[in-house]
Amino acid sequence: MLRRKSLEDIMRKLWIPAALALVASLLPLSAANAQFSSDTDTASASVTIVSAISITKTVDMNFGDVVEGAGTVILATDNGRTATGNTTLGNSTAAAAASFSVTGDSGATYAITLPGSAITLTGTGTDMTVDTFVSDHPGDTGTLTGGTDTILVGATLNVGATQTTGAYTGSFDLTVAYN
Amino acid sequence: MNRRALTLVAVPFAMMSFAAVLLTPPAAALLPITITTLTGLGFGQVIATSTPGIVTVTPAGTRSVSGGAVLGNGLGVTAGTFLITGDLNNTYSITLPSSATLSSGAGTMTADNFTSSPSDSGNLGLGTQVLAVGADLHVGASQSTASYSGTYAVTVAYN
Repeated sequence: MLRRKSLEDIMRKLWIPAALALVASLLPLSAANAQFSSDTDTASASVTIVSAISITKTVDMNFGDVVEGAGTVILATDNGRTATGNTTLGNSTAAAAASFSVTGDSGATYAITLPGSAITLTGTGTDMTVDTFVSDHPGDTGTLTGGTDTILVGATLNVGATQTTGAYTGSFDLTVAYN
Repeated sequence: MNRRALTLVAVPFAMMSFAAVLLTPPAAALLPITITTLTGLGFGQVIATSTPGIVTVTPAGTRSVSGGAVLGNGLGVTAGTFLITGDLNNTYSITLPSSATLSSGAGTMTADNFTSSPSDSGNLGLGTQVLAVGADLHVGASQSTASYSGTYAVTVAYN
């Protein structure tokens, strides 16, 4: 009887370590769950502040003197002229490709948008059209080396067979935008 | 007497082994939730003027402006995106920062009003979800031209 009592005591005492073992073994489990139940990541946010790009015309386009006759006058960006058809070239003194000055962020590249359709020159006689605008920048993209650049623009003038003599003028837009 | 003693010994040991059995299943039942950056948040190119402005990028990656700033080209405009992985069909909460600082050698800017899609809570469905984040960027009056960058943290937690 005495022996049985002491054995029961031992067993009762064993309950406490057993219970502690149970609690202890559950603790790391809940700690691990806290680690698994959330996560954080850090990402980047970025922006580039650039100065405004601006364009100013410095030289007007001028086809110079042209003698009437159905055809065209092609004005290149180096001011050179070529006549086609029955049109012939007159005095070339005034002939000039248009020139534009572009300013903006140093080193930035930009895109040039030339007129996509013909513009009209009005004057003393029937209207004439100018089309096929070209720039001296391959691919119509430029780089603002030192923050500035110059764009030269040529085009093709369409002359009528009986174009009244006189001066004809018109205007066109050139647009630049950062790449 | 011997039988009784055996029973008394057996009970605590049975409890202990039961506890040992309990250890494994809960840990295995829950996959950890993880978040990984896919793309940074990009506000693109912005032109500062003499008036302050705010550039907003939505979680859908759409950019707009209010105030004095002018939008430059859209290259680099993107919402921040994150890949969330975890347990099937579990929902989770999303914690966005209240603000973040973008800096360059020329100055600093603040981004705030962070928004996300899904907005407050996500559902992992088959175990993954892409979380997209947008924010407002405050462009100062005559903010110096430079490339600015900073970081922000996003936390996800099982509901």
